[in-house]
Amino acid sequence: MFINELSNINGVSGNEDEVRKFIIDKLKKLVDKFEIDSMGNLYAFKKGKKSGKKIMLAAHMDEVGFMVTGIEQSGDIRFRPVGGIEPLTCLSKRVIIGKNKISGVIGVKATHLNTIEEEKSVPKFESLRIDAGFSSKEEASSKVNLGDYIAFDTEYYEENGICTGKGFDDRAGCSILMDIAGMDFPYDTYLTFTVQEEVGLRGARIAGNRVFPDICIVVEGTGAGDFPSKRDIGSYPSLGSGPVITLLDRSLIVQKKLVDFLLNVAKDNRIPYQFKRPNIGATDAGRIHISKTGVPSMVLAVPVRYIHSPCCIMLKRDYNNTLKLIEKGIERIEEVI
Amino acid sequence: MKEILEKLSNAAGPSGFEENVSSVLFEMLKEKVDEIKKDKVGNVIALKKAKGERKGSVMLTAHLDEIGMIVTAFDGSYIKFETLGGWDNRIFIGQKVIIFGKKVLKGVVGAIPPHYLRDKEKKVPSLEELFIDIGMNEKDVKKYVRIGDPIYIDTTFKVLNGDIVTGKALDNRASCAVICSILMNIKNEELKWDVYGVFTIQEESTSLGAYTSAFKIKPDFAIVLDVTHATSFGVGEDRAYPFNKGPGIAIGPNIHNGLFNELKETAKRNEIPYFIEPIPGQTGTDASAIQVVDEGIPTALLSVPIRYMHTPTEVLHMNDLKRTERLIISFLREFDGVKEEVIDVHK
Amino acid sequence: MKDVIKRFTETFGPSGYEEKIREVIINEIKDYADYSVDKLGNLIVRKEGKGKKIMFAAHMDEIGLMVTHIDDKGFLRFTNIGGLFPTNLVNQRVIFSNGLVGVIGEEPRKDFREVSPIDKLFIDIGMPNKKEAEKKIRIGEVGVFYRGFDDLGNRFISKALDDRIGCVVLAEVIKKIKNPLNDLYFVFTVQEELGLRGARTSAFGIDPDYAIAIDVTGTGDIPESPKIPMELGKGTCIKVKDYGMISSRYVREKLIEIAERKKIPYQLEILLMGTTDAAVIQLNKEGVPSGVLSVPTRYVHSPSELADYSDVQATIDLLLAFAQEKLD
Repeated sequence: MFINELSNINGVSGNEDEVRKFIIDKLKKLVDKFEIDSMGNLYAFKKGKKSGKKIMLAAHMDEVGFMVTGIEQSGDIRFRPVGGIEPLTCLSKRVIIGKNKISGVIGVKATHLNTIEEEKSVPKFESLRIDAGFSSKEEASSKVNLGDYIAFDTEYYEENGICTGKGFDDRAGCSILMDIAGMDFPYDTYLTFTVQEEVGLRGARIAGNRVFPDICIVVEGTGAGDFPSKRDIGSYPSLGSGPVITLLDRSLIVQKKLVDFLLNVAKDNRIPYQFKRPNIGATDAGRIHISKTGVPSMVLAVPVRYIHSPCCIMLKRDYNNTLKLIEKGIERIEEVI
Repeated sequence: MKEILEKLSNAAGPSGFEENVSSVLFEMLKEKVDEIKKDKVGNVIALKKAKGERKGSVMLTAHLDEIGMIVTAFDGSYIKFETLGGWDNRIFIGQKVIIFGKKVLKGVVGAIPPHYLRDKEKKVPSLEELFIDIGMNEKDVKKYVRIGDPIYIDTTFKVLNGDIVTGKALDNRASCAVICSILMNIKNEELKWDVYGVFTIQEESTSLGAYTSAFKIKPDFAIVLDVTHATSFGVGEDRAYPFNKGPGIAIGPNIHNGLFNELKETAKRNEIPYFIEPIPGQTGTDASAIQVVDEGIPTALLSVPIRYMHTPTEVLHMNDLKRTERLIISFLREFDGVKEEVIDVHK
Repeated sequence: MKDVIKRFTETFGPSGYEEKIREVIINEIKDYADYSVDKLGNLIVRKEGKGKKIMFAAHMDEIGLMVTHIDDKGFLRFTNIGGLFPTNLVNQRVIFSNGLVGVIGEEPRKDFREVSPIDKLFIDIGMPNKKEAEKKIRIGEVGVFYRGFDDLGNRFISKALDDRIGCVVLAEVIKKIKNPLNDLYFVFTVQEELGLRGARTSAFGIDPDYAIAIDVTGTGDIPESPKIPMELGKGTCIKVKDYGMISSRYVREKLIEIAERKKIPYQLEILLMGTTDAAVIQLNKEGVPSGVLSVPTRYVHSPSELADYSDVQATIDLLLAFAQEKLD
C-alpha cells in the first residue's frame, strides 16, 4: 500500500509532476514501458499473457486544491479553488504553496471581531486570503508567483486500520494500481494515471483516445454517504461495507452485464460490496467510455469520508477488499472483454 | 494594425453566421499567404510554410465570431429576438441594430420613454419584453425578415484618444487582427515552423470551429489568442488587468507548462512587456477545446485586455495588440520545441 | 403508421437499458436493410448508395428513473435517468423492467403550493415492508412512465414521443427508400437523454459527410405561451438554433429549398432549452455540417406528449426527399 506516501505528495490538478515521479520511481522495475503524453497522463504498460485485446485500468493523480491569483500590497495572497471545494471547508486551515513549499494559513478573523450576520454567512473565495507571514507585495513576490499551486497541509496518519489524510480521492486508486502492477495480466494492460480529473475529467479525454482499450476499469476514492441523517433515504456507501460499485453517475451508466460480472466476482470470492448512490459525481470513466467508437467501462471505488476537504477517512480493510475485487476481476476478465 | 482592426471590427459575424468576416479575411490574406481555404464547417485556415529547416507545425488561432442576436418571432410589426452568446440584456435598450434579412435592414431596440412608464414599470425588462422596430408595417416586415435571421449591433469602429479605440466585437477581432498582421508581415525564411493561422467559428456558442480545425491540422503546438478583462470603473486589479502592460500569458491546468515557460522567456529575452494570467480551471476559450482534441495538443493562451467585454462599446489599447504581435513573431523565430521527458525502465 | 407509433412509444427503454426497444425496431426494419449493433448499443441500419455519406439519427432511449433505496416500510426512493421534471411526477404510475408497477407519492408538504424535489418523492409498489419489497425489486432497478398510446383523430398522445416519434420517422423512411442515391446510415442512438452519448460514438465510427437528427421540439401554441414560432399542424420544423448548436447553413437552406420545391409544409425552429444528437455529431473529427428536423410536440418529458400526424408525415416526406438529393 502506497497511500501513506502518495497522500503526502502535493499534486493539485495541473501540477501532478511529483506524484508522477513517485509512481515512476516505484514501478520502474515492474512494468515494461512508460509513456507520458502532452497533458502529463502517465501510461505504465504491462505485456499480457495473450495478445489481441487491451485492458485499461485508470486512476487520477490530481487532487483538489487552490491557485495563487494575486498578491495584495500587504503581502496577503489572493487565491481561487482548483476543482470543487466548498468555501466553508477552507476556513482556518493550513496550506502549502508552490515549489518552494511555503507554509501559509487561510486566516479567519477572531470571533470577537465578527458580527452575528458574518458568522451566519457562507464566505466567498473572493473575500478569503492566505497569510504566509509576508509584510509587503515585494517580499511575497520574491517567494510566491502568480499561478503557483496550493495544497492543503495535512499529514497522513494511520492507526488500527483507520487511515486519515488528504487526497484519498484518488491517491487510493493510484495506490491500488501500484499494488497490482506486479500482477500477471491476462491481456496487454495499460495502468493509466490520469491528470486533471478534478477540473473536468480532462486527462481522461485524451487517454481514452490514445489507449482505446477493449475494456476499462476506473479505480476511485468515492464519497461515502454514511454521515448522520434524520431521513430513511439510504446512507450508502458506508465505511466498512467494502468496495463501491457504480451503477449510474452523472457521467456514466454502467452496462448491466458489467455490473452483474462484478457482483459475481464479489460473491464467488466472499468479498463484501456495496453500490454507489446513483446519480452523484462523475469519473474518468465518463469520458473514456465515449472515446472513439465506445469503450465498455466500470468504476470500482474505496469508500472515503469527507472527500474534497483537508482531511478524509478510509478503512484499510475497504482498501484491501477493493484491491482483491479488482485482482479477481482481472483474472476473470475473459467473461466480459 | 489599426486599419486591419477597423475593417474586422466593422464586419458582421454573429456566432453561426460568420460569412462576412470570412470574406474580409480572405480578401486581406489571399495574396500574402501560401494557402488559404474555408473548411467544412466554415473555419478560415491560412498557411504560411517554413522555408529551410522545418521543425513541425504551430496553430495560431483566434475565433472570428462575435456575440449577436437572432430573430425568433413577430409581434405585429415588431420583431422579437433571442441572443447568440452571452449578453447583459440591459444594454439592448435603445441600441441601433442591423438585421440580415432578405436585405440589410436597419432598426432600433425599442425604448419606451419615461413619460409612458409608471415607476414600478421602470425595472429591467426581460429579453421576451424587448423588441426591434424597423419602421415597416407588418406585411413588409414578414416579406423581408424571417425567423432565424441574424442580428447585430449597428456601430462603427472609432479612435477615442490616441491609441485607445472602441468598436464592437473587439472580442475577438483584436486577436484576428494580430494574426492577420503576423501572417502578412512575417517572411517564410524567418520561420522554423509551418504556421497555420486559424480563424475559428462559433467559439461564443460551442467551440465547434476549434475542435474540428484542431482535429484536422493536428499541430505540434497551438497558441490561442483571445481577450481578457481590463480594469475600468468598478473593476479593480483583483479581477482585471491594466492597459498598456502587454498581453497576458495564461498559466493553469488548461495550459501546457512548457509552452508557458517558453513564451515567458521569449518575452523577457526580447524585453516585451507582459503579465501573468493565472486561470485555475478551464479558460473558457478555444484553448479548452484544443487541449483535449484526439490524443492531446500542447496549448497556450495569450490575452489582450479589453474593457466592457461583450458590449458594443468595447475599448482597448493598440499597444497591447502590437506587443502581442511582437511576442508571437519573436516566438515563431526562436522556439525550438519543448523538451520531452525521458524515462528509464529497468528490468 | 398509427400502430408503429403505438408499438414504438409503448415499449420499455430508458437510457442505458434500450434492449427491448431495439428489438422492436429491428423487427420493424429487418426485411428492408442490413443492420448492426455497436459497442454502446446503437442500432445502425445502412442503405448503401454511391453519393455522399449521410447519417440520420433518432434516439431510442426515453427518460426514466432508477431505484436508490428501499426503506423500512417498503417504499422506494429513486433518482432520475435523464430530464425528469418534478411537476410531471407526482401520482404518476411507473413500470419497471421486470413488469412491476408502482405509483409515485410525495412526502406531505408544508406549503401545498410548493413543488417537491425528487428527493422528497418515493414510489409505492404496494408492499407491506422492506423484506417483501426486496423480494420484488433491488437497488439499481430501472423504470419508466406507465402510460399508453391514445389516438385523437388528427393528433395523438403517448409517453416517449421524445424520441420514439423520431425512430418512427426513420423506420418509415427505411421502408420507403428504394435505390438510394446517397450512402445512408440510419442510426437509432442510445443514451441521448444522458448527454448525447450514443450519437458521439456512432458518428465516430461512421464518419459521415452530412447529418440530420430527428427529434421533437416544443411549441408556442398553448395558452399564454411565450412567443416560440413552432405550432402543431404547421409542418415539420427545420431547426435554426437550439441550446447546443446552430444548424449548418448549407443543410438548413437545402431542407428549406426542398420543402418549398416539393410543397412540404415546414416551419423554422428556434428552441431555447434542450438540444439533440446533431449537437455532438457536428463535432465529429473534422466537422460534419448538420441539421435537425423536429416534430412539434406539446408537454415534452411528461407521460402524455401530444403531436400531430400531419407533422410526422411532413417530416418523413422531407427526410425522404433530402436522402435522395444530390449534395455538394
